[in-house]
Amino acid sequence: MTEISRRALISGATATAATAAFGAALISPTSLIAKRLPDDSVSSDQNLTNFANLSAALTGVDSSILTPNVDPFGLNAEIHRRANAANADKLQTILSKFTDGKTIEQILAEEGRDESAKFLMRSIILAWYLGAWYEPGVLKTNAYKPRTYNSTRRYSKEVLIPPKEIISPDAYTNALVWRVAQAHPMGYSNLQFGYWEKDPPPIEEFIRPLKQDDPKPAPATTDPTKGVPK
Amino acid sequence: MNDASKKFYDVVIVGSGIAGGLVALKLGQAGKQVLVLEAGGPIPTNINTEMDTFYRALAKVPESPYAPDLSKDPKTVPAGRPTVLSLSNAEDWRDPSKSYLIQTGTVPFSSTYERTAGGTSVHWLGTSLRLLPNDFKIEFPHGARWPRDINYETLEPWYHKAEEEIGVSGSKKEQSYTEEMFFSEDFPMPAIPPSRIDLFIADQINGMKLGYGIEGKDTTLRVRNTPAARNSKPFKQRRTCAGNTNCIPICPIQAKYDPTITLRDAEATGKVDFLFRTVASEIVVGEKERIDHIKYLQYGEDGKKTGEGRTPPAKIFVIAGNAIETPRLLQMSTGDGKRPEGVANSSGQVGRNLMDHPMYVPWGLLPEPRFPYRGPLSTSGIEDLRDGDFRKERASFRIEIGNEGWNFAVGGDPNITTVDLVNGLNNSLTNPKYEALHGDLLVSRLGDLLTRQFRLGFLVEQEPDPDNRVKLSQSQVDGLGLPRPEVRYSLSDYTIRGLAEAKRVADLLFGQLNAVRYTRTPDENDPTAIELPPNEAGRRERIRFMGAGHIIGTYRMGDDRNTSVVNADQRSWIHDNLYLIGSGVFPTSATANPTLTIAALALRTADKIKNEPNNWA
Repeated sequence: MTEISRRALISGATATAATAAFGAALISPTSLIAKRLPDDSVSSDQNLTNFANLSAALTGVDSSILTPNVDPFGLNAEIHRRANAANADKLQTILSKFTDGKTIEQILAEEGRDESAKFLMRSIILAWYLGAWYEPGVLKTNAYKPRTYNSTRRYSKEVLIPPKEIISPDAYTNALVWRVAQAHPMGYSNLQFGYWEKDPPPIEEFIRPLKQDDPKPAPATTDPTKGVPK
Repeated sequence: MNDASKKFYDVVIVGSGIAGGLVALKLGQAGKQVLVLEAGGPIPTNINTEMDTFYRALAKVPESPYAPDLSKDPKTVPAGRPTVLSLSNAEDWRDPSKSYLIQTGTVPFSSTYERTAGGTSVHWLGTSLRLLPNDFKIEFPHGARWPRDINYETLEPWYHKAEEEIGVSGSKKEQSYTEEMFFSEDFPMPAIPPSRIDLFIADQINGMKLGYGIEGKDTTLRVRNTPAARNSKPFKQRRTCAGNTNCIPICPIQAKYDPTITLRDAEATGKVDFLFRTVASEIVVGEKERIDHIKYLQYGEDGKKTGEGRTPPAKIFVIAGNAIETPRLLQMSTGDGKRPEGVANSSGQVGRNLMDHPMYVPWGLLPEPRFPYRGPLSTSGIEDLRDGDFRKERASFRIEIGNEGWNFAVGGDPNITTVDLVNGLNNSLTNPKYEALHGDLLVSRLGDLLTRQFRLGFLVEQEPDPDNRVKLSQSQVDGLGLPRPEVRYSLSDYTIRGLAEAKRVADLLFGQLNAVRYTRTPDENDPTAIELPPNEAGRRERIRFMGAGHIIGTYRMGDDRNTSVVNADQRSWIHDNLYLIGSGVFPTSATANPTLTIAALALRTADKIKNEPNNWA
């Protein structure tokens, strides 16, 4: 049985299970949104966990960073929602293959003729890396004809393949590209005066979880993008 | 904070940027009743409003956090302004539905400004360099020279007052690189520490010689700390810089000075009233050529016109638009055709000699990770090439070292390089095999590229040219029906020879740094492409110039009323009670970012206004 989590309760995804577990008190609120069950089943807790693991394989960044224990932003659910809206069938195909133990390369090879899986995966990577949503179809249109950079379009939307939108301010400030740069989001630093005079911590501290057996577990504020106490 | 409560004012100021703000503050502190007209909206009650707009912006250009929305047709905008987006391709800069400025020159005027509480310095970098002693002595044809009363010695105390007022961190020792240059007192805060990139470049190039330099010497190059209006310790109730790497367009914690700070101080004197969303449309001249009042149009938060009016009469009027909006207002002030040349324009110099610091920005990868995207956007520069005998022949420049990787240089990194590596493109030129990566390989390849990115910026002096002009458009209007500024802009041979030397020095520095160049050669149809004169190998190269955001000239100061618009006190030669302030008064551009000199001159003029007995008779 799907583990019941707070998120599942809120989404109403496991209404039956929740009711069984917690009794009648929950019947009323969950039944109010019961009609959303078919949709929400897609974002069941297990599905979201699978999506986080798939995202970790796609991005090269540990899933504990994508879905921290305390997760005020819910980016995993948000990016999952957008990927699902873009191509629900293909997302399910990718997730099934991935949970069957296939690697990204194997999935790409199997889906080779149908490129929609490839571009959906690229949309997911860019959503995590840049906090912006790029439609898979737009990525596909542009990827086939790698243009020479038109230098007269320095700031134009056409320089880049235009993202549809910034997913949210939180998505921008939590974008992975800042971790891979061993930096912090431009316009969002909790670091302290003069940090820039020194090298940042190694890349692993930005993209891998802190080791469980660390003899002196560091406080949560040692997240290197969120500030290092001096 | 939006009310003209008095029937009479001592002073009316148009524009609430750093120049207008400082004059309002100083005269308010002196007990004068001041009314400030600002074309844009008021200071947001919470900076998070602007931060939210910035975070959501697809193109994080200098204007992105500020109203109005960048996508609007300028003819629908009540107080429009040029934007970087309107300069972004070969066509838009000449398209009045995209570009607020009506551009008729050979190349686009590529600097932009804001019309909002605080003016353009809401999005400035914070660089607070003084002009060099020789910058006040240089002369160009057509009477372009600084007035005798404005020189390094006379302005030095005002530079120091400006540094105290806005809060500059710097090192006196680092900035004393000519024999005549002196600092009477220390900067109010110690210097901002250098970045890892600064230190690498200093290691590699300190000690290099180019065979020329300041005071006829063969200057030894040296990376120097850049004085900046950015707190290196808590200062005037504001926090220490936390290195948000976002000075342009917005510092989220106001560790960098911006003029809204001065506006709040001015308001706190209890003597300064503000009218926001109030666009001055005509300066009205009364008896004896004295200014009587100013007509204005007003609009609401929705951008719709709400009414029109006139200021109460005042003793003194100060115009502090900028070097485009001020000459626009002067030229709109024709008194129903009775004064066709506009106000303050008997010399015919209003609108002429528009300048910038055309900027050459080479970029590349360092041989080792030096971690850009950290710290303030710029912390060091190379200043020792700003002066020398060569200025008889060509323009000089300063070199700014960027800490923001290729963000500014390519217009949007880290996004461009990231999309390249994920979607198999090569816009950044770093993915020549058009590989599409994911997982660990994406992390290692992208991390390697981003951590080695760097760029330089050569800010080149621009020769004043009377034909580089701001006029009124005869056909295009803004959302209030006022004529939009028509700008004709070009670069002279003198300026282009400075750009050519910038390119030559950039190549030498990149060689010394063992850096790999990724700087694009612009296409021929790029409007900002400049063909350089033949280099040492006889080859003609093409480079692109960018705007530095420094809008200079158009109502210059001087000693001769026939070739200048204002005197050394920034006072109109014709209208005794009219002052025109800001970088529009600079007769020459030199190479320093202009804001500190704007502030020093504004403080000096505020003092002159206050102490001139005839002003208050």
